[in-house]
Amino acid sequence: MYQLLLIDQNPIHAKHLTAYLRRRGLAVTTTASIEEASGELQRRTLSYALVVVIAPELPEQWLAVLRRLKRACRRTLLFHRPLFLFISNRKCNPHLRLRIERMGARYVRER
Amino acid sequence: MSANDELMTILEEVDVLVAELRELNENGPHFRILHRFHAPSTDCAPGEEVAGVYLVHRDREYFLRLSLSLRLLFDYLARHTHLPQSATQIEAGIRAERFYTEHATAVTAPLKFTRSIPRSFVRVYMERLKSALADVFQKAGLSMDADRVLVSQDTVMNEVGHRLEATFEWVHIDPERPQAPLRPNPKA
Repeated sequence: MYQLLLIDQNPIHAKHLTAYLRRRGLAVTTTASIEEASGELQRRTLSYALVVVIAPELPEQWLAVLRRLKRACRRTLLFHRPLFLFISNRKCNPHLRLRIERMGARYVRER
Repeated sequence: MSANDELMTILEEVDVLVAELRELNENGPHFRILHRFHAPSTDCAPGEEVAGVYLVHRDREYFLRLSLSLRLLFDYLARHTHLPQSATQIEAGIRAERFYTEHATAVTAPLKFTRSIPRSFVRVYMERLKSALADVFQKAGLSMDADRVLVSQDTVMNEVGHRLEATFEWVHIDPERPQAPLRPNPKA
C-alpha cells in the first residue's frame, strides 16, 4: 500500500479527497500547512511515495513551496524522493508550469 | 463543474502517479541506448558505436555522462539483464563479443575506439556507473536508488554478480542519413 501525504488548507476539501484516496487503497496523512508537511517529510521521508500539494493561492509562492518540500525530503536520504503532484485552481503561466515540471513535479489545474 | 468532478480530476492524476510508481518498482527505469554508424538492416552489428545512453522519464531524455568504457559496460549489462555476472565473466563476455572488440570499426581502424574491461577495474567501473545513474536520476527528479538499478549481488562465496534492473531500447542511426529519425529496435 502506497502512503500519500496530502497538503490541503481547506479541511472540508481535504476530508472528501482523503475519503476517495483511501477507497483507492492509499494510506493518507493530511496536513494543513507547508511547515507541518516539511516537518513530516523530514521525519518520515521514506514512508511517503506520493505528495499531493493543493497549492496555496499565490502562484509566486509555488516554486518556493515546492523547493522547501523537496529540500525536506533530501535532508534524510539522498535517493528517496516521493513523486509530487501539484494542484491549483489558478491558471499557471507556461513558464512557471515548465519550472514546476522541471523540478520533477506534475502540475494539474483543478477546474 | 461539480465538486465531485473537481476531485475526480485530482484522483485521475493520482492514478497516473500510482501507475508510474508501480511500473518503476516492477520494471525499473527506462533507458535508450543510441548506436551510431549503423549499416541498414543490421541492428547491433559489429562496427557500430555505442554513442550515448539516455534515461527516458516522462517522455524526456536525460543524458548519462559516461566514458567510452562505461558506455560499453552499460550496453553489455543491458543486453544480459537475465544473468548477474562476476567481474571475470564481464571481462570474458566483452572480449568474446565482436560488437565490442570491433566497436566503431565502421568508421575507425580496428582497436582504435574500443576498450577491454579488465576484471580488476570492474568494481571501480560499477561505482562510477552508479554515480552517473544517481546523477541522472537526480537531474530527472526521479526517486530511484542507483543500487536498485545496478544490482550487485553476493554469491554464496566471495564472488559478486552485477546486473541492471531496468528496461532498454536500442535506437540506430544510419551513417548515410544522419538526419533520419531514431528508429526503435524491434528486438528491444
